[in-house]
Amino acid sequence: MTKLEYLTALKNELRDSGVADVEEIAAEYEQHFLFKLADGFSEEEIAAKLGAPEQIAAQFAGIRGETKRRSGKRLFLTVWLTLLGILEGLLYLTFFGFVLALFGAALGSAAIGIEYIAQLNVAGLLPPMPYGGALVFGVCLLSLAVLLCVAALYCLAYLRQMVRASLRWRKNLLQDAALPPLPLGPQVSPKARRTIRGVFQWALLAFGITFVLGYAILGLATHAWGFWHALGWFGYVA
Amino acid sequence: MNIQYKKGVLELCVLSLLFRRDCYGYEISESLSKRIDIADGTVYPILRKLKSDGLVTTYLSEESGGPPRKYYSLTELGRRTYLADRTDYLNFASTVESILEDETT
Repeated sequence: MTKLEYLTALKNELRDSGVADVEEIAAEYEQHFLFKLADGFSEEEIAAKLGAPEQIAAQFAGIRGETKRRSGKRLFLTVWLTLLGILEGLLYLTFFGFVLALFGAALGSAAIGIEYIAQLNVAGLLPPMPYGGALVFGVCLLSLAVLLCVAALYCLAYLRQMVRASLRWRKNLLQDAALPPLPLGPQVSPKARRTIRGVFQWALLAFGITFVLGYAILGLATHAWGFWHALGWFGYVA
Repeated sequence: MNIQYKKGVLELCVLSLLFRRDCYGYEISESLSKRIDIADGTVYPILRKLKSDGLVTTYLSEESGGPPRKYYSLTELGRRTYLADRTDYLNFASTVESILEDETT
């Protein structure tokens, strides 16, 4: 059998057995011929050594999930996955917007906190406060920024993992490659988990203490529960 | 040697070759058919089955002067499966060997 005869016979046998990706398989056998020819073997010798096309085709047909049964459904699956993908994409986008908002809030509270601590009232935007209270509230806002940052990073990791898991799931459906599905939640090493939890807890503690302390300092300084009235924050003095 | 014996362990041999480094199909076919008496064409269905099972992945690599070669590479699942199956096989083989040697003495 010549190379052409062998490949034609193999393709016919594969098609008859309902195997998918006939061309891809044939291409690999053609490469085999090319390698062997380069080593000086004749086409007949190579074909004989390869084994009968019907036996090879039978081996391909015996592989689970390799028969064409799925190719008919493939178009339907692709359309359905595309529609689902648009919906998923919108959800991910919304979630990403939320993450951005969290980062923005973190940045904002960090900026205000630093302004209070360093007494940089840029453009006179911040309500006035005696420095003792401002210092404590500055630290309070900085801890809030840390809290928001941790939350934002966690949400971002979550989003990333969800997208990855979704892509893996799609790939598995379309390729029939049984890669293990990915978990939906972010995978954090125990050490990193402890670090994140530690940072979060310390920031929460600092936030709570400085908030109460700041409120107490300003309340005592102004002799009022609603110190913001006494400080004239909203344009009037109580 | 009985063909049924070989078929079962060929998959393991392919995994073993790929455990060492990524190979293209012809390399695997060549190194196996040099040492085991099989038809050259049987390796490709095995590679395809391993891919279908998620044990190997493929990628194309450009070589100087020639069409791109399709390389096979073990997945994480493939590495784990190979190491487990290898242990199982070696234990099994040594048991069979000891039984057969008892018989002759």
